Amino acid sequence: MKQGSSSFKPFLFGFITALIIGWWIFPNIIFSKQEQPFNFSHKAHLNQVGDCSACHYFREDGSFSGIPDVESCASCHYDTITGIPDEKIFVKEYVKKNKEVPWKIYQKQPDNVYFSHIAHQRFPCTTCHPDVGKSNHMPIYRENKLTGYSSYTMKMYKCERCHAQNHVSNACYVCHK
Amino acid sequence: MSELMQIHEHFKVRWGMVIDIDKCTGCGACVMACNTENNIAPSTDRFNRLRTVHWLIIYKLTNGKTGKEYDEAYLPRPCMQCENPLCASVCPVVATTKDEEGGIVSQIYPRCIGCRYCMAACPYHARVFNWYDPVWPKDMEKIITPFTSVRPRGVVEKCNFCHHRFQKAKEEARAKGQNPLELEEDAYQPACAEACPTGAITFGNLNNPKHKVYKLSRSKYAFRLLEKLGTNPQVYYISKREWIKKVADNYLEHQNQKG
Amino acid sequence: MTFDRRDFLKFAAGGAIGTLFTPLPWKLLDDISIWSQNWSWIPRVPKGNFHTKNTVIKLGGSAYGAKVNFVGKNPITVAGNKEHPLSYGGVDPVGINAIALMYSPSRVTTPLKKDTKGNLTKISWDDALNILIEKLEGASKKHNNILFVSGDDTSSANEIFSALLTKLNSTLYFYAPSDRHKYFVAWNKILNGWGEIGFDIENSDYLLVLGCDIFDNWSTYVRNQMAFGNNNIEVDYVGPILNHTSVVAKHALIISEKDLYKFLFAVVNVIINHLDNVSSITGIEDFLGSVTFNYNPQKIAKEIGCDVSDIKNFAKRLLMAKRPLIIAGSTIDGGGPTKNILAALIVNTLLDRINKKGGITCIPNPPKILNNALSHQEILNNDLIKFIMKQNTKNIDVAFFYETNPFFELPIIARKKLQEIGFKVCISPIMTESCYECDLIIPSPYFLERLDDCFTPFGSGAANYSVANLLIENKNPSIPDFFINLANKLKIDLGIDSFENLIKTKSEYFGEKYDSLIQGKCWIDYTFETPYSVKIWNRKIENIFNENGLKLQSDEVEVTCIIKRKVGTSLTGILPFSNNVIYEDELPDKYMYAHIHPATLEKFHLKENEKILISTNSGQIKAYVKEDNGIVRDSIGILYGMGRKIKDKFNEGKGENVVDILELNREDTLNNFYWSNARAKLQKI
Repeated sequence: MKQGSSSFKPFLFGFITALIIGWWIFPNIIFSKQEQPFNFSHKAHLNQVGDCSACHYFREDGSFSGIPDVESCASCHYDTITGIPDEKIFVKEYVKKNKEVPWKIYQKQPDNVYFSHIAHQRFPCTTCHPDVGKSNHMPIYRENKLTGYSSYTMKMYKCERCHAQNHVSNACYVCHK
Repeated sequence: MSELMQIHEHFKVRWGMVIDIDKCTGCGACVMACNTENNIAPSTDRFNRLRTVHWLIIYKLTNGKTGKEYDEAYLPRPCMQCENPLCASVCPVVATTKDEEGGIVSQIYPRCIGCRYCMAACPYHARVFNWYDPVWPKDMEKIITPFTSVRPRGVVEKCNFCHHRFQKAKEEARAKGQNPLELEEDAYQPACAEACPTGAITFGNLNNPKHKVYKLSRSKYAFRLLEKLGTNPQVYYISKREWIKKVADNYLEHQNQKG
Repeated sequence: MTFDRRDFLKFAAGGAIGTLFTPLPWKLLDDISIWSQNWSWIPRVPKGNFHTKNTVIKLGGSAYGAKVNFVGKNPITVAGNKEHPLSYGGVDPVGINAIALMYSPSRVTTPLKKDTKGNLTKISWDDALNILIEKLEGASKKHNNILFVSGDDTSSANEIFSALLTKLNSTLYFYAPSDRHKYFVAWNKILNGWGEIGFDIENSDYLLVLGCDIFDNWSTYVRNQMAFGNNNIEVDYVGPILNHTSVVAKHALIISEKDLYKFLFAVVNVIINHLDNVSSITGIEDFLGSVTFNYNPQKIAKEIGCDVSDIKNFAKRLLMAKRPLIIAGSTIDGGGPTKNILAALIVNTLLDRINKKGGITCIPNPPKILNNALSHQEILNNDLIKFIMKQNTKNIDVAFFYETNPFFELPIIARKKLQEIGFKVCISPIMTESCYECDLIIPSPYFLERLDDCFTPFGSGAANYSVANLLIENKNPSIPDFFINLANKLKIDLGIDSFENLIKTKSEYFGEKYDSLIQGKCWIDYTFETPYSVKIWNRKIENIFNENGLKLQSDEVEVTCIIKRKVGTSLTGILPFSNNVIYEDELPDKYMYAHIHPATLEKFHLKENEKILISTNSGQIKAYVKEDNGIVRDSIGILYGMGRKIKDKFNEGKGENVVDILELNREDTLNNFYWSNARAKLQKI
């Protein structure tokens, strides 16, 4: 019984180590930090075009345009206008080569998820997306090494919870395809 | 019996199909349109009913007579989207349900564990199991559509009335400020109905008197497959030929019709 | 402080319990489950803007307007075009497969040359051009030394090719055999009619179809089906085998292809007293006399194996119809006897159905822009089979096969004659059987990869013109432009500098804007030729009908082809999605089914699923016996389009080619060939 007082220490040590691993080391291991192909300043563009919907708009058939393709960007950036290094990369690597930019999508969803932007029109974009509009830099993209999805990617339980709170059907085919 | 089985709610919108067998030439356009629309991989092996993936299949019916009395017909068979789906009631993981407005029986592939209980339960053989991973030859992967996710080996799949087209029609209605649950007939048509070169397949809301299917499904020539099971399919067939009606309910020779 | 075993266990327990208070196990479980849903080898679906463009589908079947759905830059699916008069919103299996076919593993991507050992080697376009220049310069020194077979009888490309050929001292320009040609012979040459035959199916109320499958593969079959579906048309079918037309027909009667004209004349015999306004038709009295004398229903019924009541029934239905239309054709397009077509045209004339609403239309001939080109009629006047069977093909130095596959679809004897030609060039999008037989292979752009036009596919009710625009990137030159370039190198002026300008000139001719045509508009014109000089009967015509068809010995059966468009065309091979729709009851195994009537089975002591060897003078194939009540007696029906030599997994090991056992027969008076059937012997193996 002499060792009674010290007997709890290894347990506590193990417990705390686990907490450190679980809360701090593990998330850093499972998520890789990645940069976008080049920096894009939403703030600078917003000053130029005046409105988010100049690039992110609803098409006539109700579908959402999402991230503009190179062709749309090239309507202004057919050649370098500002001379900023990031723009040079864009023009040289993508516009001239007519290649789509492999943007990393913060809110990337699996193929079997169907999401209608127009049905969620009454919510502000930042409910689900990172608030990038006023920033000069793109947030760091953290990708789950195991699943390949972004750390921002909304989980199904969140979709369901919001649907339930708003009395919207949670039937499978409302969101799956 | 059928009252007991009605475990599901009644929907305001019931998407339904009416197939006029007397107009079906059996050309196969509907099946191929279904395949390309829904990312069913082109098979390089000969067709095998138990192995080849098919959401829609065309059966050749014959009346079993000889000589001048001999007659044949083609019967395209999609998923019946039963009002009392036997498949949904047996699924152990709730991967298939009938819970959405419109009455289309859903099938969620990542949720499916591939036990195939639903396939055993479905009296119409409308469900197929992916025995192999789908393969498109190099380059041909470009024809994969964004409409449905690609299913891996080990899950069950079935026709869903091109549900993505329903979603698309709802989006379009929202964009125009219309009610997404009061769609026009033209707004939502599955790929098979769109492709059918004789217009044998009619599609619409069975509850909406403005849609053609409303009247057609209530025609005296309309019938459903294996009606006596009480599954109440949302797919109707039309034929003026009595023998086809008889084949459709699978009566044995000694049985009286409509017992 | 010591750290003993007990402390370690405590540490482990603390670690384990501590882990439960972190996201680690839960997150890991969740991630693993997501990971297991996204295998890297399962393709991802594309994202992008969904939009639609108009085009025209050709690909060896009948042409019609269609819509192509794109996601981003990639075409994904095809749908019908409701505004196009040859589609009305319908599509056919070939059209649905069109995009997949563009990415077919058997596409020809670069020019290929056969070396002395028979191996194919890739060459550059310049090399191909130089080879052709050398060959053509040599060959053009002799008259009619170059032969050109075109598988596309609707495109203006024919003008460029035939103009070049004329300049190279040859008029041997042919369309691949089709019933269009047989109709030309029957109508324009024998009956002395004008214009090209079309069918105003939309406005008809009763179709009597003889032999051909107008709802699956014959003439404008997509539009035929749509017209039938939309307009409440009653259809009756008479032919050697039940098909996709008979299945929706009110009445279907099974009669051998060689007897169809007899049946039709017997029907006329029944209604002879009910005919009005026939006295003005040239040759009517001789015709009626011949029908009364030779085509007595009792006698004919016995001869062709049906009941007199059948003939009377069909006669009654024909009489009752307000706007009847009789359409005859071959079971295998271009391969049937001309007699049936001739008989159908005579009876349509007799019923006063020429240029009438819902009847036969006489479509004016298409315009010709290039001076040196052969006109459509001049080309139709050339009969490929007749020519190669008469000539010593060894004397021909160069042959071109443009988008046609004679080494698959023609009987073996005709293939051998073509094989003897000195230097053969195959222009094809897909490595077909003909490519392997040729010395130079030139890749043809396909579907969306090219600009092409289409003037009045055979069977259209009125003249029409539509243009398919180039909709996706293509590295290879368009074939008509390649030939213009070739002409320039040979210092020949064709009078046009690009194919696009030829189409623009044509659009102007029709008074239609080029820009609206490439966006999917279809020009259509309802003016028709008036054939004043039609003569329905004379001694020669009587002789044609007095000739006997195929005579079977008691131990022989007649081979009949079962044609299904879902199998593909001779040009496309078995379609990528065909194997998803050719069911087990159509192709059970590597070997196919031989459909045989139960009475014939009994006669030959055969049972279902037995394996038999079917041999004719041309060749032999193996098949399983299948009992089928829907086929004429003393006959076997075999699926056409299988047994391909295209080297990809869609085509390999799928049946045998039924054309290998078909024989070339001759209609003596007409000096025309047909091969839709053959006499075969059956042997159990």
